[in-house]
Amino acid sequence: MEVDKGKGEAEETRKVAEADRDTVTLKSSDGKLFEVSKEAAARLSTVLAGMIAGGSIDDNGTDLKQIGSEALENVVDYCNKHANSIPSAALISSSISFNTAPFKEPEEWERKFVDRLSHDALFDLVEAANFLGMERLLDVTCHKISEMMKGKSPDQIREVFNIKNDYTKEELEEIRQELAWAFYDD
Amino acid sequence: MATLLLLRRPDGSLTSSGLQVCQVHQIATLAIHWEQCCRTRSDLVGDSSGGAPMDPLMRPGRGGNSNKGNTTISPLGDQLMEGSNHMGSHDSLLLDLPDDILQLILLSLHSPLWLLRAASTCKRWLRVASSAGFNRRFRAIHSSRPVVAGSYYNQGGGYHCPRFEPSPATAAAVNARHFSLDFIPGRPGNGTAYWSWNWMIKDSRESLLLIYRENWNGQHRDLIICEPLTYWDAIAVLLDGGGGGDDDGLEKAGGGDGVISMASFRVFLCSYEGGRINACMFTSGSSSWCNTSIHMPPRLFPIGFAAGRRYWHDGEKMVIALDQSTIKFSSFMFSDDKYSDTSMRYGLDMETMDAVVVDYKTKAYPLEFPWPPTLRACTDDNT
Repeated sequence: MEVDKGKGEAEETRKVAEADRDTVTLKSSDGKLFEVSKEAAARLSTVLAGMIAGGSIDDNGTDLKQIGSEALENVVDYCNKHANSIPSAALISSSISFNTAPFKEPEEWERKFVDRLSHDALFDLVEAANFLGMERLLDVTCHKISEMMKGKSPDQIREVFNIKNDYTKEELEEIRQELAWAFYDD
Repeated sequence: MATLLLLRRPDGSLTSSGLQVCQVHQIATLAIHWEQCCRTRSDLVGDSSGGAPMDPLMRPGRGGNSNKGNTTISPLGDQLMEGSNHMGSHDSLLLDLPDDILQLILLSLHSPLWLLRAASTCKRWLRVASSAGFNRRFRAIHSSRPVVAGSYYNQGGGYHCPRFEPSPATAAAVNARHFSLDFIPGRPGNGTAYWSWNWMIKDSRESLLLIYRENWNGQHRDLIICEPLTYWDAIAVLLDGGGGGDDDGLEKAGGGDGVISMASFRVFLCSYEGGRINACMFTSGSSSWCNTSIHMPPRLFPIGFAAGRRYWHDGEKMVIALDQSTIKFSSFMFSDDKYSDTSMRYGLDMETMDAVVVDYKTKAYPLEFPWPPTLRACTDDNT
């Protein structure tokens, strides 16, 4: 098994203070271990909060079989960065109600955080955030994906996201007619 | 006599059907009224099959309800434990994502323009973006900063149609010719010299425009409400009555969180006649005006519009109020005569409640993109 750089430290920490640690250890699908602040994890992820509260955190590394190491590294990175940044009032209110709260624009550091990701890494992170119930990270990543659509024609969007055009020729013509104003390319 | 005309795009052919006359002498106010109730276009398509005398929005060859796919977003928790182990390859990047994540992405798009483009890439996206739940959420999230496509300006004098100027944000993305009002009949050069009078924009509300014209002696008047960007039929109401010298005070009605569309609008008209203030309301889908009136004092000065009510005063101490949603007049005595300066035209700022002077000659009539941003094409049989 590949050993992550942080793993050794994590094991050290575990030996020292098993009962009352302020971090939790997460294990990716490919067996890598990552350590994250317990406070940040509980605040940012409803799933991790539930596991921490329910005592189902495994000190040897809580298995997150659905999340690959690259995505989990990004999740942990996000949590740690988040813990270090001062949470704005906007951020706090946006996590109150997922369904009704208006979307809050990503903060500068969040933009930078997602901007450096490759397409694949970004989509993996969306899935990881969804799996872990990380609403804010989900908002930020989805916002990034939507940014990639803005200003593009349907054909360009299909190309960027590798979407198969499943309309018939007639249907496409119908759409073109109805939305003539929305497409500049005629 | 007055006739209600149905105006069809894009061929511009007209049909007419008899409607109750709206007797108008001196128009005081003409505005699109904000309707509280929220009805979508597709609701109306459904309604209009019920044999109403006027069927302005029925398009030939279409009958379906476009909002069949009513997928509401489920709480995140429901999704969590269904996550399958499919990280890694993204042959089609967005194919793997569940519908509610796709919703989140589309919700972030902000402009109906980008949303419509994204939704027309494939059937699944269209289905997600067409759901009633999605439309509600999109509106709730973005209503505080609607995307203005551009503004119309009346062109003073001559025989010009109002001109359109795209807003900087959309100028590069949308061809301004789609905003042309060429479909309105009776333009100069169309062989209808008699009607070659200026069309004037009287009000705009979201994606709707209220356009008005009258001939030289005020004997003939036309009123059209239309959504320039879509192929929805415009509705033209021919007004009738003597008098002239219209005195329009156009203030937007406000408030509420409904969505206005060709399926859901009201035209509000206020006039002075026979020593009375007459208020009329035309509601989409109906075939008649409802109206009410109140005794008009010897002198009458408009104050403005606030919180669903329109106000006048008599230059002394009496204030007359008209509740536009119920079409009911009331009056009360005002102790302060600070609105005695009658040479100015006042609007009432909704937020500060301050009276502001409005110059209607250079007023911009902003137009938003049609709402909801739903594609009717292909949604009937694929949801």
